[in-house]
Amino acid sequence: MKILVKIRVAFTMVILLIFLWAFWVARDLPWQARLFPSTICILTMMLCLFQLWLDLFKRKQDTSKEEEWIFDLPSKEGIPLSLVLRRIVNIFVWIFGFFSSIWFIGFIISVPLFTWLYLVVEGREKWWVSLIYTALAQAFLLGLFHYTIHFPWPEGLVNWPQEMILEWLGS
Amino acid sequence: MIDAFFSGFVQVLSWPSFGFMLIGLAVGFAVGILPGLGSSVTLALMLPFIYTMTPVSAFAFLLGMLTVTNTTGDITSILFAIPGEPSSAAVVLDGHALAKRGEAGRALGAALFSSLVGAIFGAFTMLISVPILIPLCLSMGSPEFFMLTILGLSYIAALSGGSMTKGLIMGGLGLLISAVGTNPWTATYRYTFGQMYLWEGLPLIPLVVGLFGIPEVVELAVKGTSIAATTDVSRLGGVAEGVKDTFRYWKTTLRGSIIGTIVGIIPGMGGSVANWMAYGYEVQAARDKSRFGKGAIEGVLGPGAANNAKEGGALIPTLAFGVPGSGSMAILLGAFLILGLRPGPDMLTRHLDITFSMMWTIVIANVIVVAVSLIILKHLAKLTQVRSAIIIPFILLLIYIGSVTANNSFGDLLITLLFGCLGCLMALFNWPRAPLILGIVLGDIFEKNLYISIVRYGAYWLVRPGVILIFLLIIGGIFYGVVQKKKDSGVLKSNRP
Repeated sequence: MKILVKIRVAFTMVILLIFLWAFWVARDLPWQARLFPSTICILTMMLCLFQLWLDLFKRKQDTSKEEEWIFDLPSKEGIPLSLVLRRIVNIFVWIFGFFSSIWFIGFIISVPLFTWLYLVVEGREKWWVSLIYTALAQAFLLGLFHYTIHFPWPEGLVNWPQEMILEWLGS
Repeated sequence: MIDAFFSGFVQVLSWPSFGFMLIGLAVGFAVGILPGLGSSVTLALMLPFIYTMTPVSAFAFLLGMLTVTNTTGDITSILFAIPGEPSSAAVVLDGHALAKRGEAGRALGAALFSSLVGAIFGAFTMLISVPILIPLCLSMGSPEFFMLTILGLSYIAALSGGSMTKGLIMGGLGLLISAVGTNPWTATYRYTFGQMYLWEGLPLIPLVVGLFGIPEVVELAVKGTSIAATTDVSRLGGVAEGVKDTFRYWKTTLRGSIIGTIVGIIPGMGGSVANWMAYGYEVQAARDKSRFGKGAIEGVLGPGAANNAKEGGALIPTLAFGVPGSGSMAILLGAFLILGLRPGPDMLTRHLDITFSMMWTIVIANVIVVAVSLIILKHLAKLTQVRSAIIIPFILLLIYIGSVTANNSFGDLLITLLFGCLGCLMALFNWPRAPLILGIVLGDIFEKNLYISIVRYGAYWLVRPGVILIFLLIIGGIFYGVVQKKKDSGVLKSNRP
């Protein structure tokens, strides 16, 4: 729990640093452009310092709520904290993996690839059931975005496979 | 006038206007449900199709589509915490909480029916209030608009949940985020890191979708259950209950409709402001604020009604002076020009039947879409019972495709991821997310009107009657909140054994 308390303090610190940085950058702007962000930064930095004081000193007095960590799960649903953290890391790997895949090879290939892999690996569905769900997702993507509204798909880093498929699909 | 009233009704229901309206409804339904596909963009894309239409048919097509996007935008907000439209974001807070409790049907019923009431209220107000609102609207300047944004920001305290300090900090962060982009007065770039993508500021849709959508995906994965964790949605909280709630809490629905109409009338306030203001007001006015964010039905009814009432309100300045009340109305103004109509007194005299047909379109379109939605709602609510491992890839697909459609750029995806991570940390450490959005939504209007007020009026803007009146309203609201809090804590103490 001590680690989580430290992270909580660190989170407030990061927000304080963001305002400090924004205030510093605003110094170089003309006064018309500086007035608004500078005023906001000064006022919010004071609030951040107050919150930091609350996190560091007030929080210690109220340790009864320390159990309500991680989306209220450990205390309410009896899931061990280590499992919760493992699941968080796991889902973030998938979220970032899907993003990286879109960035690398584009939407048209990433969507079926991610959907099928997730359903098989995480969902533990049979491969052919996963294939049906994947086909539904792809049909939605192509039917609405490609054929109906002619969405201009962003190019991936390696774009030739997506381009080839789009050419084959026509419009 | 009575003739025009009925003529407008008959014209909307006659062929081919009714057919065009049905097509508009189908497009609007899809656009509203899908995050990222904005109503303004779709309106713009549909403009070329109206060249050969009569004015009544064209407005039946365009307005039918526009009003429906607001109604159906709430559906994904409630089911998956992904707002279909930026103007549906406030519904996420309590609507999705209700869905998690197994009361998705109730939340959807309430959202749809309050939307219908709001739309009817806004449409009729549009016609009744024109003679009163025209002089009122003309008497308002930048100082009054600035004070109205302060009124909106005063709700941050109410939206902060347990910690007001955290809420104010997040409101400040939202205001700071709204400062990203090109400063219009000096043409200087603020916090853009030399990236052209940021010149126009941070796009709202990827930001909102990330802030609310990603934490919900993470929570679903952590829990390992369905959205409505252990409850049977078919037994608990049906659609009919939500419909009844609309009338049981009629004051909330009415308040939301009034707030929506007023915000709609004010040019430049934007669609996203109306539902946050309605939500903020409901929280501030409530005796037990702790219920909000955990599934209070008033948190769905107020924003739901405001969301649709604003369209009728926004039509008032558009029709009366040709001043669009929102981005969508600016595009609709283009439709006026295409059809050879001139907004202004003519719309209230010579073309009164067309004006009435617009009002009827809003009403009829909403009645049809609510009726159709009610048929499929029970099936939609069952989506909250699908196992997380199956629904997560589809939610993630909606999140990514929804955010990328904002600018067709990978920058949108990055913003979604960045704010998704921020949203997770905020959910983890119990920081409120609503004030952040309120700050972002109001920031631009806040800065613009403050600057114009200072440049145009110097310090004298502070003593304008409208400014003083709104200032007193703000003080009154805060005072009322403090008194009520003290009263409630007094009641709690006296009840303690």
